[in-house]
This record gives sequence, C-alpha cells and structure tokens, in this order.
Amino acid sequence: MGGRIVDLLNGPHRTTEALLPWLLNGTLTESERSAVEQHLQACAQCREELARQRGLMNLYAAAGAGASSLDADDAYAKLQSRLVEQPRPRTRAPLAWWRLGFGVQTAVVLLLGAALFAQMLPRWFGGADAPYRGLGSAQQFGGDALVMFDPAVSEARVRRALQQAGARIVDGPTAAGAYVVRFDGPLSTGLTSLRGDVAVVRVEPLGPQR
Amino acid sequence: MGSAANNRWSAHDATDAELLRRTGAGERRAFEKLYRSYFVRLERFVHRVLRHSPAVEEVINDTMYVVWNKAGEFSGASKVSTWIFGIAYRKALKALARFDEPAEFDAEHLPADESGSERAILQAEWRLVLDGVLAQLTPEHRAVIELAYFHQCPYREIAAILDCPVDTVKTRMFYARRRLRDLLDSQRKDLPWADESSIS
Repeated sequence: MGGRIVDLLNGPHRTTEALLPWLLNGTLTESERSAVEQHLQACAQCREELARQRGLMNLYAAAGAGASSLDADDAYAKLQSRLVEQPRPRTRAPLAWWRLGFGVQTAVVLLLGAALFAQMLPRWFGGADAPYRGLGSAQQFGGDALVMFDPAVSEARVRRALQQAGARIVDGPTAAGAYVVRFDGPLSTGLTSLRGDVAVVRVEPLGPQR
Repeated sequence: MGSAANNRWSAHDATDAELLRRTGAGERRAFEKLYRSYFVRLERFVHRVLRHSPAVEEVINDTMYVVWNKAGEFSGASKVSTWIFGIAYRKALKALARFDEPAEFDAEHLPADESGSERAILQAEWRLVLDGVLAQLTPEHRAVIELAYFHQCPYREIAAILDCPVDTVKTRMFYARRRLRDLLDSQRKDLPWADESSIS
C-alpha cells in the first residue's frame, strides 16, 4: 500500500501563518519578510488568512488607546515615598577619608546657601510660600460614562445605583445594551460608586459633558 | 502594514537607554522621566493582563521600584522596554494569583474627545465589548495579543518578556487569534456597526 504522511502541523502554510501578525505590525526581519511575501505571492489561502488577520488587528486597534484610569502624579508620589523610606543601596566603593571630609565641607556650604536662597525666593517673587503641587491633580466635576447594567437587576435597583452615584441616564440603550450616564458631582466619586455597585457590569468614562 | 521605522515598540529606544543609564547613576529626575514615559504603556498592558483596576497602580509601582533598584545592573542584552515589560508581566501574574475572580473592567478618567460624541460613544462601547471578549482568554493569551497588536512588539521580544520560547509565543498567538476571532464574530452579530470603518 502506498501512502504519504502529510504533516499538518508544520510546512510553509503554518510557518507563514504563524508570522503574519508580525508581518502586519512590521517587525519581521528582512529575511523573514522576504520569505513570507514570497510565499504569499504563490498562495491564495495564505493571502486570505492575511486579510482576515489584518481585519482582526484593525478591530483591536479600533478600540483605541482607551481611558487612562490612573493619575501618574499620584502614582509617582506614592512610589517616591517608598524610594525615600528605602533608598537604593549604594553600589560605589567607600570614599577615602580625606575626600569624605572635603565632601562634607562642600555639602554644608551648599546646604547653607540653599537655605538662604529658599528664604529669599518668596521675597523676590512676591508670593506666599506655595507647596509643590503636581500637575493634573484637580478634581473633575461632571462628565459622562457608558455603563452596562446587569440585565438581571430590577429597574428600581438601577435607579438606586444611579442615585447613590449622583448620576442619571441621558442616552441609550446602545446596540450592546449600554447607557450613557451623566454625573453632576465629582466624576471620580461617581465612577467609584457605580464601579462598586453589584447592579453595574462595566463602566467606560467618556469625559466631560457634551 | 506597519514599518519598523515608525514602530510604537521601538519609538523610545534611544531615550530609554539614556534615561536608564542616568537612573542607574542615581539621578532621580531621569528616573521620574522614565517613569512617566512608561506609565501609560504599562498601565494599558498590566490592565490587559490583570483586569483588576486597584492592583494596576500597585503593579506599575512595584515594577518601577525594581527598575530604580536594578537600573545599574541592566546589562543591555535586551531593549529597555523588553526588560521593563518583562518585570511588569511577572509582577502582574503574581498579583493575578492573589485574586480569585477576574474583576470587571473599569477606568476613571478619559481625556476629552473633541471629534464628536457619537464616535466617542461607539468607540467606548467597542472597548466594553472587546474587553468582555478578551476576558475569556487566558492572561498569557491576552498578553501576547496586546503586545503584538497594540504595542507592535516583535515576537522574539515577546518571548523575552513572557520568558518562554519563541515557538510558544507563535503557538499562543495562533490559538489566541482563533479564539478572539470566534468570540468577536459572535459579538458582531449583535453589533452590525462593529467594523473598523465605522469605529475608527
């Protein structure tokens, strides 16, 4: 009996298909790209697969970068406090004693100078001492969000969730069954309230009121 | 198709290397610049793997704390981005092990979209749907999809980040794509607008 074992797990189709995501994101090496493109020229099946993968990647990209849910200033401030409490271990060799003495002397002079400068600064610029303040930390009032409620909860339960969050429905339902909800109070407080409510499945902020 | 010249993954290579070098020398300002440069990228990646908002900031800070402490030991054998994302991935998996159930996706603040409320709503809705679909993949599959499709990461560097063989990356991508496609197809029957031309 004659026969031929066909390897379905390897071969040019599988090899090419495996590399298509990276052909699409432009990160194949020159030789890989050349080999894949050469195969694609001769293989309609793999060209169809390329088109399907391109569509999938575009759908993924169509969702956009999405919301940044964190405040970088706040997050860095928390990390900074850790750095202060546990400073990074020194990796340099200890200084020679005479260099240490010179260094201490220089440090004292610089500290005195800095203290004097700090005292003079408000006088030069006329303002009261202002604490350092990170950017973007002001609380936002008002805003919209797209909210998906648990379809199993009652209308009364949804109303209670909205009331506790200081929000109201202004549009919807969308094709996916979500509602546009508007907050009149602090946005972060309202979002936190909805997020923690069992009647709510998902929340996607939309930004300031439109 | 994308090109290496404008690739999102490689866009900051030179700057990252310099900032890391200065961080290794103890320069706090350079570390802060590096932190802020990576913050949004790490947030998105960690959130995609972890899907639990309260832990995302903790994982980012745990990651960058390691970067601060180990910057002087970075050998340069990989890109800075590969190294940092690798740390983040391991930290995210450890955090994931602490949660019994994947939490629902949520986000707190979105920059204003000035190009039309209707498009913003559609895009936000699509993000909700996509997130629900991705929740049905394993963290490993989500990581591969996210790194390849969004961060435009080469497969060899994904292997380094995930600390697995290159063939494993390709296999995970193969099954992740198939699963994602099947799940999206079933969602899109209810969302006839869900193609890239109507959303983007």
